[in-house]
Amino acid sequence: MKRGISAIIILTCCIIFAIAVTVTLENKAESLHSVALAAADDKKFVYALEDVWEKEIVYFELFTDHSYFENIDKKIKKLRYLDGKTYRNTCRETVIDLIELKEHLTFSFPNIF
Amino acid sequence: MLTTLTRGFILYFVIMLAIRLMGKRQIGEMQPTELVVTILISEIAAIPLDSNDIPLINSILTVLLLACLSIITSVLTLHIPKFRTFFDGHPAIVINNGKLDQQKMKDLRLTVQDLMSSARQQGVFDISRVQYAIVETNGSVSIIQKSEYTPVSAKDADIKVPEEALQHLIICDGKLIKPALDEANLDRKKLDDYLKKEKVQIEQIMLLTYGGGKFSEVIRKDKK
Repeated sequence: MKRGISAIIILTCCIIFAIAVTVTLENKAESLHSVALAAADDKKFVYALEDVWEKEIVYFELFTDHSYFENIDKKIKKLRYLDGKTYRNTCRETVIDLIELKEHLTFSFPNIF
Repeated sequence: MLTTLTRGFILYFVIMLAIRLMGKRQIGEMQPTELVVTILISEIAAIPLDSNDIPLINSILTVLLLACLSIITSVLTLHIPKFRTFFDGHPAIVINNGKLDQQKMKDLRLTVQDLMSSARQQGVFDISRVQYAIVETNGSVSIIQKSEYTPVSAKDADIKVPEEALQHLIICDGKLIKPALDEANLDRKKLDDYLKKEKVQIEQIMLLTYGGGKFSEVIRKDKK
């Protein structure tokens, strides 16, 4: 019975941890997405985007599939050196990648299956 | 490389923890629920070892989740018979009172060869000697022989035999196993006196057991 109670406690902790991580990552991806949208409209926001990304990258590194954030990381880091059409295109791709990341993180029926 | 090693190290301990948490049953013959968990855990553990792109925390969380579900299921099956039937099924009698139940064998997809093989493994070489054969929920077959073929016990022969005492391992490979002294109700002085009498030191002993108030014969370590 003791084993059963410890199992329920560990299971509860796992569920709480998973919910907390999912909600936190969703919020972080959402804030990144809005800054990326602002950077797509105006290049002066690109530094803000870099700052936010640098701050949040550790969470994505720890809890998401590396292929998702590595792609975004490369694009965000080179944005400040780009101009004109290339900048707009890379920004658009970053926004799309962030949307994909958000979809990947969301707890939804299609994601489960 | 170092990352892979560290991940392997962490996973090893997490799986050890999970298996210990699940208890001794997991190591022996398994019930269907336990088999499912064991297969899944080994698969889940292999994925992050193989690929560094997958976060380790996901696998750790899943291994713990499976271990907890396994324990909760076993607690439920222990206390609620309906759960037990649902998760583990129930034993099936394939030889009932010496008669082979062919329909039951067909249902279980069990061949006569399988049954004979199980009987042989239990020392029964003639199927006509079997009174009952039961396929247990873990897939093993229990055989009960007809009474005329079962060995005579001391009780049948009305013979008094001394009680068998449990032997506790006191010294193993030159090391004293302290918890065994309490388990065997042996006090240290008695042990020291015995070793003195045998003119041997703990470090020189390969094996010494104690049970029923007596020491076993001292097996000394080979001299190097």
